[in-house]
Amino acid sequence: MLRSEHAIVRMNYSRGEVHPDRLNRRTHAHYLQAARQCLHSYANGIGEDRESLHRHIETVLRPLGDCPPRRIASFCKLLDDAGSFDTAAGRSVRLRQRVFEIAADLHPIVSQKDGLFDHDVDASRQRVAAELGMSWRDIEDAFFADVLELQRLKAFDASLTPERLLARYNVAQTQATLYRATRVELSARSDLKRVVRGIKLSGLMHRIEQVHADPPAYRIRLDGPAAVLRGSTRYGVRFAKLLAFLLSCRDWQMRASIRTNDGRPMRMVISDRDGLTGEHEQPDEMDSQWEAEFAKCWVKDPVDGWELRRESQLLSIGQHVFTPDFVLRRRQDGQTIQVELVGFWTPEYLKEKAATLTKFSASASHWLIVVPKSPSSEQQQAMGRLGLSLIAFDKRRRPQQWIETALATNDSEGG
Amino acid sequence: MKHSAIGVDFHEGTLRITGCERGLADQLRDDIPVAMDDRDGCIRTDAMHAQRLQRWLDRQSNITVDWQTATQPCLKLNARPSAMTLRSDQQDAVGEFINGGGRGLVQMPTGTGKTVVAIHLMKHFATSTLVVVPVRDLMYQWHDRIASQLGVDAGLIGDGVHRVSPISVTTYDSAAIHMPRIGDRFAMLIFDEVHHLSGPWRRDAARMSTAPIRLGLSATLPTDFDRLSVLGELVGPTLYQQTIREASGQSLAEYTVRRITVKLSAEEQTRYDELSKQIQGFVADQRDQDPSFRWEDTFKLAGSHDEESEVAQRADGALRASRMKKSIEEHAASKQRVLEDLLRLHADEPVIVFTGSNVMARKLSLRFLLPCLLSHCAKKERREYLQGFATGRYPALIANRVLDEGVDLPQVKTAIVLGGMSSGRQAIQRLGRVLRRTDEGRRATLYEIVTEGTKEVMRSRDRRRNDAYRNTPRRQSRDDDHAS
Repeated sequence: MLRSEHAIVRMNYSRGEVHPDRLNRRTHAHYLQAARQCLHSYANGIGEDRESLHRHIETVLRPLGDCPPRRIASFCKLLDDAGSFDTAAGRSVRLRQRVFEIAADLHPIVSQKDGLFDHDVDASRQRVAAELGMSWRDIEDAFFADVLELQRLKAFDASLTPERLLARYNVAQTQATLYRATRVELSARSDLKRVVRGIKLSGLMHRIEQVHADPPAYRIRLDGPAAVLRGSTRYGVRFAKLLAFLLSCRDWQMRASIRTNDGRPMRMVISDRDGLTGEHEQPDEMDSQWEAEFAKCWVKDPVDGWELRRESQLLSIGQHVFTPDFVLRRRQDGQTIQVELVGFWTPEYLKEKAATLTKFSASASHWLIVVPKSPSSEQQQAMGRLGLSLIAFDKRRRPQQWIETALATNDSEGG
Repeated sequence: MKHSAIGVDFHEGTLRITGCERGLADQLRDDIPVAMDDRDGCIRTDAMHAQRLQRWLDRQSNITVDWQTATQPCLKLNARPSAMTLRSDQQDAVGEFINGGGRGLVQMPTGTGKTVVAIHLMKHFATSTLVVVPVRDLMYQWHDRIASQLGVDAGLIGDGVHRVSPISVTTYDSAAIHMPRIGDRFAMLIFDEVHHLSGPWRRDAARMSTAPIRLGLSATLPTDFDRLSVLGELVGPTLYQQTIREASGQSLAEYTVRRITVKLSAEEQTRYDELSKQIQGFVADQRDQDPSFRWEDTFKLAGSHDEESEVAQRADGALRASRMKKSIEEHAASKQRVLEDLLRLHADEPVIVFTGSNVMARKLSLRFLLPCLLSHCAKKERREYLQGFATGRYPALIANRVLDEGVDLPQVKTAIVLGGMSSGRQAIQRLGRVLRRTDEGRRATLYEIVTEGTKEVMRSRDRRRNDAYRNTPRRQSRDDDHAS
């Protein structure tokens, strides 16, 4: 990740929009070659210090004519991050201490010796070198090798391609703009479960609002506890991490409120269609074999007037969110049945699942809890206690029966 | 009136108030800055209002309050007698702070023993305390002082350590980062060099804590109204103030400033003039287009986007030229010669050399083979050099600005400054370090080496006009101005 001093943004004041720096295939086609050269510098720069590596990068990027200093600094940071440096931890410190101790007797070291002071620069160096059993040259090389800008490159990720480096740059600049965000608003349609996972990981607080019923769409406003008292950029890094996660999700849009230096309210809009590519792999369509089987059953024998949607509803109570695995929905009147597959066996998991379902059972009128064909006694106990309709999954059982079970039990119990 | 049960808990640097009836909430809003929060159905306020809130709730009838923040322990602190002997001015500071309700600012010049005042107050209040300091070095120094004078192994938060104890020391940045998690664990906050707190982000270090007792220490409180009122809100009013004039003679030695001007070499001067011309040309061109153009605008231009790439590149070039000029001033070969002469002159006594950059500090360190303190130095190495210098193992010390802000230096009578001082505050802080009281009463000397005919001379003059210098007794003759 970049630091906020690397951020390059363009302000569109008439539209109130902030655009982070972005390199694209057309305008910046020449960057591909430059990126290749930069990667080459690092890949062949093992043993060189950070300062001189950065100088190489500058000599590659500066002549492009359209590469401002911050962009150069950003590339240096991203390249540094793709490598690892020898911090010379301890070695240089010990060397310095030894040298200073030996030289303490020689103080002051003068340019030319005279009657008063006898230790000139050359003689002092020779004396120190002799006592340490090293050449002065080696001493000088290692003397400050632990200083950040003088640390030497130890290894570099050879698999990094020019395209990937440019993609990383675009993502990193967008993240750096988010450091200055005070609040973020997400629109999410499908892929809700994964978006919710990202939100939970971010540690932010949310307000969820369903803005469209069919197809379901949600607006999720995100910020932190102190945000109700004053706009604060202290959650900016969390927004940036959330973005990295969102890049592996489908069908989302992010609108961020950005604080500018002059205090004008600005926003930045990003979505899954912006061509930003993340480092996370996009997960498989279905989380488990079992979910896939369940969906297949429906496709083979769907119930007239009903549809099965995967992870398409967010239930929220305060700061708790839950996305049931499937929703069965009657087209005619929008009647829904929340379907949750409970197919994992550790007692902790069952306990947690039961707690979640208990908490959320009142936020939907119909539920269908699906357990495996031959559930364990623990499972039957834990789920049975919930008072929600329960079926054991059987491929031969028709989906019509799922609906009947769910509607019957809940209706009679709900009274 | 209906009886209601109010819950208060600490949530990431804020207080969450639940179970408040509407009428009560409206009254509360009139007295304390709070906000309704529909996200988790509560009323929220900054943690720093904890004491006000508690008192407010105590005054209400028909309510019970379940206060769910961490409890603050009463501590037994075994102060050593040496820590308890206070000079009369220190006694005054302690008294004013306690009489002022345990919330406010104490201003005392560097070298007058602010730490002693703070330690005494820690002993007085004997409660969980977080000390917040500007740099990591000071964190370890406070740790040592607390250990030797209160007999407590204080926790450390920052510099890769996260050990939270009832008495802990941290830096401003770490405090601002971690306060959402530790903000209800301390009843007392001590801000060393409190002026750092007025930065927008660092304010959270005070805002996100529930501590009712707040002490802000500084050698130089901000003079502008806005910053001072921010400190007033976050810490408290100014309760005690001692100027450098009052302090000198009593606890500070008098000192002399000697400015030594050096000339650039012929090559340095030529290069310097070329760079000046480049900058002047750029500024003139910009003024042709926009008469209101000022040099400061160059930074914005250089950072701007590729649309105006040519201007941006020229602006960037001008900035580089300006940096190169400073670098020529700083690295002027003749300065190194003057430094050599001064080190000869003071070969038999400890000398501290201040530089304006890490690069210069390293360069001098390698030339004179003297220990240098850089901003990234690990604590162990810094302590080794500071202790080694104090005990005379090292004859002199080279330091970058890392030693700003009252890092405890051994008593020094001679300091040499090579560029890098740019504000009144920095000047005061640095001077404070050569102003340590000594028994012999010999005057301390501050040498300033500047290049002639350059901006450095102007900056040095500006500095002299600053109050910090004007208030200081100073004896200076024309002869002092030039190296012999």
